[in-house]
Amino acid sequence: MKALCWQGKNKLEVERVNDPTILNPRDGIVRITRTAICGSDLHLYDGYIPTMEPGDILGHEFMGEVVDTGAEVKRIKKGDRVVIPFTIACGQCYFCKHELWSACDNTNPNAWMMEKLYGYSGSGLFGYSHMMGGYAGGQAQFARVPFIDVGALKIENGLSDEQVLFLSDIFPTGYMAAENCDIKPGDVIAIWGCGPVGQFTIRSAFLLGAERVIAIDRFPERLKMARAGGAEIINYEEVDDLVEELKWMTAGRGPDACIDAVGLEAHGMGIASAYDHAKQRFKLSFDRPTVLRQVIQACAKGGVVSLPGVYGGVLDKIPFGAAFGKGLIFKMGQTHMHRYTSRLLEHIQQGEIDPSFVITHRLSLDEAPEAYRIFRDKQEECVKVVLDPWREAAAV
Amino acid sequence: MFRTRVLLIRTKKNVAAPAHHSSSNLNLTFQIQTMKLTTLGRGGKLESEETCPHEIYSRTLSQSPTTFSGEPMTITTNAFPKNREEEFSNRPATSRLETAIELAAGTALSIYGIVRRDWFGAGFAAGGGYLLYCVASDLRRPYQGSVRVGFTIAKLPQEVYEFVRNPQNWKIGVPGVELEPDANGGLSVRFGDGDRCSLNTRVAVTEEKPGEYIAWASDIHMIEHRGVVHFKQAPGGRGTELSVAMEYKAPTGPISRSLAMMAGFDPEQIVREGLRRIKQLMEAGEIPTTNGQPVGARGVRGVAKRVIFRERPARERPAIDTQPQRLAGD
Repeated sequence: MKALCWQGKNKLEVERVNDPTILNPRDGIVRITRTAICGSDLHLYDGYIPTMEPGDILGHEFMGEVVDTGAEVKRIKKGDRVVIPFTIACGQCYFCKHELWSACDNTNPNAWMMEKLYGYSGSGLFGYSHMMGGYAGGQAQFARVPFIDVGALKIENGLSDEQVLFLSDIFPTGYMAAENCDIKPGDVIAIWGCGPVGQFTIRSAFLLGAERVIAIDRFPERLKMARAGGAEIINYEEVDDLVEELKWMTAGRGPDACIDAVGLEAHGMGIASAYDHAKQRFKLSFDRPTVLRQVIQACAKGGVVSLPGVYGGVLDKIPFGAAFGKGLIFKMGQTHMHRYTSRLLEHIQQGEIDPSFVITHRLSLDEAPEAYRIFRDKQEECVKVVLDPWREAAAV
Repeated sequence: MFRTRVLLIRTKKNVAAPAHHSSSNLNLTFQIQTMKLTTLGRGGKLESEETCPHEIYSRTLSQSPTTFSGEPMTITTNAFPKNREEEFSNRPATSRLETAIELAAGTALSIYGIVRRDWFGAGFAAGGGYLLYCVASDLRRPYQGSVRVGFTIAKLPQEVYEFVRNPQNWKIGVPGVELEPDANGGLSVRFGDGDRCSLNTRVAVTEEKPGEYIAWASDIHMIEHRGVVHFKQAPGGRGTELSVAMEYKAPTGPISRSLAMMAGFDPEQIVREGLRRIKQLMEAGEIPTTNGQPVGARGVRGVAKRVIFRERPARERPAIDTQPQRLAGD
């Protein structure tokens, strides 16, 4: 089959590799019909996530048709149309039983690596470094899905691939980010980053009853999309002081919750940002926590800081005094996917949201390396790329 | 080093020992009638024989059901306290700190001595040289370490105990292990792939309370180890706290120990990953793996790192039926 392989920083190749086979009795094999490039894939592309190896197959947002199942698979049958959540969960351990699916104890074959770095290991993820399990990802024509009975979301009605594909990661991730804010009537939510997750966070915040949503970015096309979702917008390049601007917009209260949908590759401005860039350049740090600093500074007293954006290592110059002084609540982590998939499918079926609004580029798998570059550099007004692994590359 | 200690005990069935015969967590339920400690030299030649008081080894004796016969029972062990001391064995062990200090001081003194180019310098150089010699000989001294690992398994203590007590399941904990019961009720344990390097040891269960703990000791000098597996009900319905505390002495110095670590023979690693696999199999019904999944071209660096990630190419992957498949209670 064809698969997109990581070959080093900024180096991706579409290669011919073996088809996946059933390795464990609870595995299933999925013939992928649509797959997407996630913002967090860009951290791999830019080489900021440790324990990636040349030859690793990327991709954790995918869906398709089940073509084979292991002996112990009961719920899912061959021929089922399924969306696969990006976290792998066993469904039996303490964490799975307590709905903390992305903390599953039993799905990371390289748990020892993550334990060395983080103390404890979370669940395995598709196509996201060996530390996170080293599972082959879904930017390929087929993928092996461990514990398919536990994770796979069956799609049994006429919804199109593009409408349900984002249940594999970004829609639940955006939703959890908003849910973490514990939204009460009258709440104002500020969201840094209007990428795909940011867009879903905006809409989820409204679904959960937010009064106002303020979206922050610098790309006009993304801000336009945020405004279409009902948010008020700030282009941070055009304001002097973002925190003051937010204070002004909320009449001195500050946003009741601040969401960092940017993560470790914040663009940022000013001296702090230059310092972060330099540190990252010399491999002293994986992260550039510009946005994290801002959300802590901007958040209202007793408010919630919610982090769907990914951080990888040890951060510094974090205004923790401000966090303590204001009594902030921090909520973060990999999305507990299995908690949200069927709930959000319901929203899509009811017509309350059509997730395909976020797609700007529809390409073939062969064009994936180019697609990563466009997406990373925000060229061609790119917000979200969806790949069809079976389509031939369009003649250029 | 080539001596084997043989303990000869005559026991009487089902008589509880007085409290002072028990250590804190072991409780002997047979009365010791006679005891003899025999030391055998190379080739089984008798070297010495002494009669021991009870207190010395009340902590290492076996309570295995096969020994409740009133017949003399023989345990061969060198994981056995000698001269009333809590000594693991009498070979001195080296520590990394010791080696590091000797290496640093030895190098500094030698260089300083050589640079001085006078008789005092020669003295310093000789001292430094001696320290470096100590470092070199340290490399041949045994390494002593301990391991403490715990996992919480969402199953009842009795279930976990039964699973762990069954030697057939040890293959799950330590892949590639070969077990062979021997006449004394112990087990010969061999692991490693045989080609690169392998490890032989003999294990005897020295103390056991079903559903609560199993204590074991090894009795061959290749690698000495002893320890206890505990099974405890976890609070709040979280299942069982399965823990292993062991101490070991490997016949190697720091360098060969690092090599052993790379080959997967680090005791801590073996115990931790073994318990993890047991947990995974008992809870989820399978052990997660990526061995045999498709990969792209690894490149030179990637191939080297494959060793670290223990990756096997697709075709070498054994079939799924090598894994027991119905343990998750579904």
